[in-house]
Amino acid sequence: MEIATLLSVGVSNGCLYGLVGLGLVLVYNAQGIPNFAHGELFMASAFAAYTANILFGLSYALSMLVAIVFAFALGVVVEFLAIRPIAMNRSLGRASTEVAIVLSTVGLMIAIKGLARIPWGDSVRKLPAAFSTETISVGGLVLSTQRLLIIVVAFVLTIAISLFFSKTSLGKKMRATSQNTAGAMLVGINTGHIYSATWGLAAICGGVAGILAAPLIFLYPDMGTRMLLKGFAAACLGGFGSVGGVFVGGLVMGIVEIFFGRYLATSMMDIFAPIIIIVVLLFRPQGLFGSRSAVRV
Amino acid sequence: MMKSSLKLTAAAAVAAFIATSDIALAEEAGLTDTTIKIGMIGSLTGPAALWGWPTINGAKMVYDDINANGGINGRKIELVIEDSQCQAPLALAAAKKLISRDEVFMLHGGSCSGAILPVRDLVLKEKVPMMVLVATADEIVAQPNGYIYRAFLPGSYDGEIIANFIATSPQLKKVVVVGNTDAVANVRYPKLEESIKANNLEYLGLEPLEVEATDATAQVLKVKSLNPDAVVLVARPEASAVFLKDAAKLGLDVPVFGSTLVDLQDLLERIGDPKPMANMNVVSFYKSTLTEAPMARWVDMLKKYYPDDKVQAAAFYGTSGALAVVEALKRAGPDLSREKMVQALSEIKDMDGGPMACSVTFAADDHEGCKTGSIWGMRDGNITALGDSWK
Repeated sequence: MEIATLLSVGVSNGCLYGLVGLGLVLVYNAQGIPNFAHGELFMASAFAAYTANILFGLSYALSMLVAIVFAFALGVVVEFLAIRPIAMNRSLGRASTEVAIVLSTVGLMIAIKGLARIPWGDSVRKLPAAFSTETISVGGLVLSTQRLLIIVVAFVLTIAISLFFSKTSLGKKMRATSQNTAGAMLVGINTGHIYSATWGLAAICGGVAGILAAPLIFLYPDMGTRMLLKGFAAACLGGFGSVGGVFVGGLVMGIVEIFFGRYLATSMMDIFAPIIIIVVLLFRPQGLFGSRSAVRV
Repeated sequence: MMKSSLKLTAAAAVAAFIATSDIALAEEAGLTDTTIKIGMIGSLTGPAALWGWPTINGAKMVYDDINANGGINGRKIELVIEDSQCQAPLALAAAKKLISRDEVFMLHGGSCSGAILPVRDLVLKEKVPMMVLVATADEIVAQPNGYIYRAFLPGSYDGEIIANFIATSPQLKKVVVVGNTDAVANVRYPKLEESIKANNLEYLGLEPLEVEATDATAQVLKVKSLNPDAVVLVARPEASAVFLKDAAKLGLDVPVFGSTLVDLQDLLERIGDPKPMANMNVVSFYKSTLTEAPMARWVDMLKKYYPDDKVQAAAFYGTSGALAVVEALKRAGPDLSREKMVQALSEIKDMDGGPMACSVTFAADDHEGCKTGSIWGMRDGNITALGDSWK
């Protein structure tokens, strides 16, 4: 029974890590940018859901929809205002541009967090769970309904994103742009729109994770920081090149982390994510499901 | 002859003027005939902003009230407030600015122990009186220390209060500790473990819980496997709430005792459900719950001067310190100096701690003014002051 409890919590935590990691991977694959502000998209979406549901009194489902739209819009705005001007500045040179963009995401992380502290900084916030019944019992095993929702939504969203990339025109354009930007531009793809859409989609992944996690944790401006690290670890473990791989990476992390804490040392749970990142980068930098890419020089 | 005599007289006069000016300046830092300048340091922005303004305002309201009633010995209190963001370098910079540039008479500050600890050396070197605002680490006030005072329960003492309380119940024999491992929590563990053992209780060990924990399943299951009679929870509010929720979910049904890092009303609001709180007890600084008569004067004062502030436990953490400062300023008299202030503080005995459960008593070699608190618990869904024995 204890194993099943740990497994259910580990899988749901892993789904959250996977979703956050997925958002990181989408942006990284499109533009080669590690988005350090991704945790803040996680946080901002949770607060958007809270605002819609608690402050404006919208229904739960509508609030979630509003928060997802907000996440998409925030991702697009961030790309358009803070990333694109630097990416388009050819005078910097490639290396300087990459450094400037990374610093820009770090700046965004601090700025979004700081802005969030203005209205939210000094009070406790809590988003209610999606279901009024907080737990269900299955054969003596107590399961959190919110955690079950996390698992279902994460699986569905990951499959939907995989299908989006393989079946839809926009998804194929995104893949084409990430594989060869110059080539995509030559065949008439508006890469600016593609980057905006990618940031929007990535923000949805982080935002959905934030909305789903919010009832389990509490809403505060720093809530995304820890999740960013877990998302990075999931992306490293699964491999930055694979949507499914990142999701599995998150699941493995969530499960191993909680079993490690229960049967070895809870004190080590906090440093598990950075250890994963270091070990993977040292011994299998392409991740569990990624493949080494050859560069012709 | 006449000329050289005049020169000597002039030189002596100038030397005497410079010397007396220096003395006067040294004696009058932060003082005018009508004002006493006090520097306050708090975590007004950043992750610990939750504690920032509420604790500052809880002290400020006392100074506001004194000013509204004519001040102390003809002088009104003028405050200069700086933000530490709960970071040591910023706290140190703030203290340096307040002492050197603003030339405050004394300091009243410190929201985070780790941030304010480095300020201690500066304060002692500059011989500036300081009242700790809400930082709890014992080291801040530990001897040798001629200038820093604290008028609320220090960090290590709540462990002793909890252990003594648990020992009054014949049913509670085995105790496990669950807690954060940051500086604020770490100062509490040695005395807690010592007190548990001194009360002939079985100490089952410490189970770490991350400060930013979002899940405590592993900790709860591990604690359950140890089969304790009671859990002592030394964790910040967020982590405490996560632990209590998971404990209720996973059927850990034993009394839980929280340190002064948490407040029952705040936990209740965070969790939003009284069920996980059913077994919860905490050490409290205060005489009574915020809704009972002993706290009415302080709640009214807060509403009067800061009507937009939330009436919460954190609002009054700094109040007793301000009361001690005011009392010492009165006793030091109109011919005020820093040394007289320190002496006056050291002579305070059995002063009413205002909202605090303790009476404030200082001595020249003991600047911890408040060493008692009481246990509060949830009884029939209500926050109830339990005193010092199991009910």
